[in-house]
Parts: sequence; structure tokens; C-alpha cells
Amino acid sequence: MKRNTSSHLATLAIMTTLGLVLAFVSLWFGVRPLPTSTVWQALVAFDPSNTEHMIVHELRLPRAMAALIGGGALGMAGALMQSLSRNPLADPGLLGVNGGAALGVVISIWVLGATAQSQLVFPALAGAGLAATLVLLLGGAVRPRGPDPTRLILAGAAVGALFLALTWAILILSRESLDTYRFWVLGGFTGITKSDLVALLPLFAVSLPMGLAAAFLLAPLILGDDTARALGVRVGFVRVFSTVAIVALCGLTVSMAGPIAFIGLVVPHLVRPLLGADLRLVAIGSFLTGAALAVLADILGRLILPGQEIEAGATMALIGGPSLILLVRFRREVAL
Amino acid sequence: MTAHLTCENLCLSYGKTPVLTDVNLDLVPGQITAIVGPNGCGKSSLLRCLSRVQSPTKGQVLLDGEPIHKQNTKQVARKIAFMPQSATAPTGMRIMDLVLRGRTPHQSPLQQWTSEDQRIVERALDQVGLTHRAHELLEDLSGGQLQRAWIAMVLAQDTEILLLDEPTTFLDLAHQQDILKLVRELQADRGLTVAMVLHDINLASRFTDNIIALRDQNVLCSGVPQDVITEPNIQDIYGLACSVIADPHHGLPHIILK
Ligand SMILES: Nc1ncnc2c1ncn2[C@@H]1O[C@H](COP(=O)(O)OP(=O)(O)OP(=O)(O)O)[C@@H](O)[C@H]1O
Ligand SMILES: [Mg+2]
Repeated sequence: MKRNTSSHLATLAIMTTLGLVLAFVSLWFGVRPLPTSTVWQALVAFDPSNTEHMIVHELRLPRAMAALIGGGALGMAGALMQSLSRNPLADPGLLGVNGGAALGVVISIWVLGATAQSQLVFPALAGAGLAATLVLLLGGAVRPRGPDPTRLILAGAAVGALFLALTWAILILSRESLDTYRFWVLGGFTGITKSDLVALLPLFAVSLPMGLAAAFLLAPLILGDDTARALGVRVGFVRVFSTVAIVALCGLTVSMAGPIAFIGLVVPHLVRPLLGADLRLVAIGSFLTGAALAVLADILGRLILPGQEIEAGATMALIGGPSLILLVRFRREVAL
Repeated sequence: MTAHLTCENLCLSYGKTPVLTDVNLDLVPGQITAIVGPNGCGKSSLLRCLSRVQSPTKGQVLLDGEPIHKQNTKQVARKIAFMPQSATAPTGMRIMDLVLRGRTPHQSPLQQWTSEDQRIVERALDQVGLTHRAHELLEDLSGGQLQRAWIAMVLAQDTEILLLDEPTTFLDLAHQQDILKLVRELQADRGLTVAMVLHDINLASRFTDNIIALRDQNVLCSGVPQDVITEPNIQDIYGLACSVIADPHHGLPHIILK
């Protein structure tokens, strides 16, 4: 017991360090590469009149933080989602929030003429929230025994498909929307400004602890509904609460950075062999690993093609696809 | 003073199919009761209702006179432990992790782990003889070892009432005996009230104080083994012809099929 606990703490500490180091390294890269010493100076002795310091503070730091928080939120949501649905291949995207966010985005482009990434954040959030509410209602969240995970996923698939269909309908009507949407839908942390981040931080500050609480609440459910009920768990409430936490985490991330695939799906699988079956540890580990992976994807996107940036969403798909194949090939079977 | 579990006019249907109709029963406090009956007669359903896992369609289950479906879930879980018939666990879980889960109703978000929890978990592991394997993965265990790990989990819940659905099904003869002896010890030492579904009538006769036989959605007969295990009753419950003899060691009723 003792030995296990301390080795788990060490693993979590390594994951944290990795994320922070990568985030620091990410501050060097960009259209104008900055020397380490300048980056360091900008952090410890900030000088507002120095343009290089301003670049670090206004652009690169918010971007690194957005990647850390967004990647972490997706990782944690993935761990919760796989446990909630008892399906190791479940991705939080299955709950339909990405479709809702996409619809919010194209409506705001079409009707309000939004073009900048940061103008899209709140419309996306509204769309994601609407989709999440519909999914919860259709998934049976208000029934006395609570939602049934299979029903939730079906509702998510239906709502997501409906919202994407509406999105495409608008895109067909308006060519200009397509140009902005095409960029948004790749997903990435490039366009994030300090003010977007500041506006979203309080919402993350609520939903990340909710995600952690959901991990604690969901943990006994891995033994099955009957056993959990016999242990005094209010299964229906736990499912509703966890679903709300998952859609909040994903909705916020997709609003901030667009849809980023694979983190929610792959990260929990990377974490479980290191931390075991305890959802509480896996959720924390998935947050840390998701954060590190998102920053890594963001860095690689700036390195692969010199002079150009590839969106983190696209890089993530490049990393995620092969790692999923490796996981399927080499890991022993997981049942949740 | 042990908890007293009864039910009154309990009815349960899944959709339109009735499974239990107007069941009345009383688990004698501090004694062991066996629930027997043919496959599909509603034994598991009854146990699920008694443990608050399933809400009855009509009627109620009373714990010390109070309806359990109206009580706080956690409070009930500190008094009644239930082991389902087909329990599942995810991969990557160790015996220790499973048994720790039994402490759930005694923990709160702010107080996750105490030395009391530690002591009770170690005792439960010891009682089922799994102390030295506590760190093994559940998927690496045999069916019988797995069953014992689950029993340790409900023991760790440290309740006055124990409801076990087929605790001996996957066990070899020796381990069936071990589990039933363990249940007997717990009942004798700590005054636990136990109800368990058993399929082996002879084991039920040997290791329990009362037997409740179910048939056609209701209790067919109940009482001490000598009253329940008779040739006509076995004919009524299972439709089987048999002779009942007194077993040579304890003089308890023992059935021999014709
Ligand atoms: N969740 C359910 N939904 C619908 N029908 C059910 C459900 N659970 C049980 N049943 C039905 O209720 C009846 C009683 O089932 P139950 O599991 O209580 O029987 P049992 O006496 O425990 O049988 P066994 O000895 O095989 O374990 C069966 O006919 C079964 O088909
Ligand atoms: Mg049964």
C-alpha cells in the first residue's frame, strides 16, 4: 500500500514536471524564435517596453497556458467519459458538444460576421451548452433512476449529427463562413489572446474541480450499478453530475481552441498502465498528461514545417492516430 | 442488538412481468437464513429489493421498522451489505483495491482513509484467506479466489446484515465449506444477520438456521431446515422426487434424489 502510494505520487510529479518544462520550452518557438535567456527574463523581470517581453506575455504565455488547460481538460474528460460509459473507446466528443460548438461558430460568422478566433469563443460556448443540455435531457438525466450511459451516447451522437448537419447547411449558404470555419475546425491554440483566456479561466476554475469531484464520485461505479448502490452511492445523481462535468470541460475547451481529437481518447490509455485502475488517480494523471501532450503537439506544429505553423489539432491527429494503433496492437485488453 | 430486516407485501415486476407478488418475510436477527428455489423464481430479485438496490413496485422493506427506500442511502449501506450474483470489476484492479471499496459508505469526501479502515480491510482479507495475495490483479485469479475477494469486499463494509447472492457457486467443496463456516463464525461471534441464496439444499440444511423456499413469485414455505426439507416440499419446489434422511454426522435432513 505505502509503496504503491509513493510510486504513484512520483509518477504524478514526473507528469507535472514534464508538462511545465514543455510549456516553458514552447515559449521559445514561434514566428520569431526567442533565446532562452530572453524568455526567462520576460518571466522573472518583465519589462513592458521590450517587444520581445510583450510577445512572451501577450501571445506565447496565454497560448501555452491555453494548451495546458485545454489539453488537461480533454484528458480528464476522456478518463471520466470512458469510466461513465464503461467503454474504453469512448471519447468525450461522443456527447455531441463539438457539433453544438461548430453550429455556434458558423452562426456567429454568418449572422454577426465574426472572423477572429476570439470572437468565436462565446458563440461556441453557447452552442456547446445548448447541445449538452439537449443530450442530458434526451439521455434520461431527469428520469428517477438517472441517465443510462448507452442512451447518453446515442443522444450525443444524434444531437451532434443534427448540429453538424445544420452547420453544413449554413456553410453551403455562405461561402465566407467556410473560410473562417475551415480554420476553426482544425483546432489549435494559435489565435488565443490573453483576454479570451482571462474570460474563460473562471469557468475552467469551476469545471476542473467538478471533474475531479466526478472522478471521486464515479470511482465506486466501476464495480457495477448494483454494487455501487449497495455501497450507498446515488448512482443517478453521480451520472448526471459527471455528465455535466464532462460536457463543461469539453465545451469550454472546444470554445477556446476548436475541436481537438484524440487527447480524450488516447491519454487515459497512456495513463492507466502507470497508475492502475483507480479512477481518481487516472483522472488526475490524464489531466497532467493531456496538458503535456497538447503543449507537445503545439510545439511540434511550429517545428515540422519551418516558417509555417500547423494547428495543434492537426498535429495531435498525426500523433494520436499512430499511438492509437500502437495501443490497440500492444496493450492487453481493458474492460471498464 | 442487531438490525431487523423484514418486508411487507413486496411486489416487483419488470415491465409487465410480475416477479414477486405480495412477499412477506422476516429475517430472524442474529441468524442465518437460506433462500432456495428454482432458477428464475426471483431469489436475486428479492435480495436486490431487500438490499435497497432495486425499488419494489409495491410494498416495502423495513429495517428496524423504517422503510429502507425512504432512508439515506449511506446510512442503509452501513447496516446492510449485499453481494450481487454476477459482480463485475474492471481490469487492472487489485484484490486490495476491491476490498477497500467496501469502506465507501464509511468514508466522506473529506475523510477518505483512516486506520480503522485499514484494520477492517486487513481483517476481511484475513477472514477469506487472501492476505498474502492482496496485491494480485483480479483478472489473474481463479473463479473461486475472485468470489472470496468479493466476499472480503462486503465483509469490509462491516455491517450487521449480510445479503449474499450465491456465495458458493464457483467454489470447490472445500472452499464452499470454508465460506459457509466463515459465515457461521461471523454470525456466532458478531451476531450478524445473514441471508444467502444457495442452490445446494444439503449445504443449506447443514449451515443455516432457517430456509425460505420461493416458487411462483412467492414464498412457498419457510422455517427451520427440518420443517422445510421434506419430501413433499422438495416435490413442490423443484418437482423432484427424493428421499430425506438424517445425515449421519449431525442428524440434519439430507436429500437423496430418486
Ligand atoms: N433486470 C431485469 N429485467 C427484466 N427481467 C428480469 C430482470 N432481472 C430478472 N428478470 C426476470 O425475473 C425473473 C427472476 O429473476 P431472478 O434473477 O430474480 O431469478 P433467480 O431466482 O435469482 O434465478 P437464478 O437461480 O437463475 O439466479 C426471471 O424470470 C428473469 O428473467
Ligand atoms: Mg439469481
